[in-house]
Amino acid sequence: MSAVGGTSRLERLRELPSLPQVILDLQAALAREDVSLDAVADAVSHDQALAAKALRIANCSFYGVPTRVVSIRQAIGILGLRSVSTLLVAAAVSDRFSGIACAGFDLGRYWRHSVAVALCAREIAKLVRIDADAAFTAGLLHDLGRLALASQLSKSLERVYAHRGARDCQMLDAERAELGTDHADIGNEVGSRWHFGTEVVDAMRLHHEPPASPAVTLIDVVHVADNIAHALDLAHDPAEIVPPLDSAAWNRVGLTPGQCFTVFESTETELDGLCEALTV
Amino acid sequence: MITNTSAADTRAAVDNSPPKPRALRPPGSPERIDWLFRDALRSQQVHPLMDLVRRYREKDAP
Repeated sequence: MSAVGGTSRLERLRELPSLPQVILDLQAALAREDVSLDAVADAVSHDQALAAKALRIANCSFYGVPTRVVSIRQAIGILGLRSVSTLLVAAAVSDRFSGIACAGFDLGRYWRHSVAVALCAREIAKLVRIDADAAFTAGLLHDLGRLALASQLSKSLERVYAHRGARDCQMLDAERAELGTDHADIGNEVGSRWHFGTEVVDAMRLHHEPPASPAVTLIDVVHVADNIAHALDLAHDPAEIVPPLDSAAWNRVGLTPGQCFTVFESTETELDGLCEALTV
Repeated sequence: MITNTSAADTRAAVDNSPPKPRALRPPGSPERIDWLFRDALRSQQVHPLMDLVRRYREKDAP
């Protein structure tokens, strides 16, 4: 094992490109619940590339908007501020990580899996009556630590892929063996730095090991959604392997077989269109 | 974590033969599903999603 030292790792992560200020401001304002719709619309409109990408996502079939959305202000009016915030974050994150060179890491597969987990988490959240927008955001960002690794510590991640290839083990185990940390821990650092909100950051940090809880949590939902996305083989990864499923979290989510089939079907149906809008 | 399993569910766990070429594990096939859940099968555990995914894929099969 050749672990990435905590200090050097943090230094490399500090070099991670920041999200546009408008996104950071929006995250902070949403957390305080004092956000002004006009202020958001105006600020985003000044970043033309971001606004264009966000509008492309808003117009994909997933959102089911009956008329073409041509402005951020209109998107907020139709979809709501939290949904627009999510698609702005998605647009900003995908822009920030568009040019990654890391052997073994496939950016297209990364996004396909993330979008699948987002869609799946959203559907499950509706069934168990927790915040579906938060579930979508947490699902989309749950593996952000791996994206940060590919971007900032690519040689280290290449060792992880080599380790996994040699042992055919879980990526999480390969990360811990090679790096002394894992993508969930790194995601926690990045998510905190980018002000994604405690609930979403907790889901990023704990999605492989959901803690005990008296009731279903967002972490449980993302954990189960992540498992389903792997089990449905949606990322088309030849080395795909389904991670362990926490039985307590599975029971808290409590999907019936019929609900599972509905979630499987809706996730698969929506996946291609949203991937195209997000990554093209 | 996931629960213990029956002998029938562990067939892949005791299969030490070389991995099949990818062409022999087409997406959605029973062989591919066994491959996806190989970690659980190796450790002789039942993954609750395995049977659900199998039933879901069988529904789509011609």
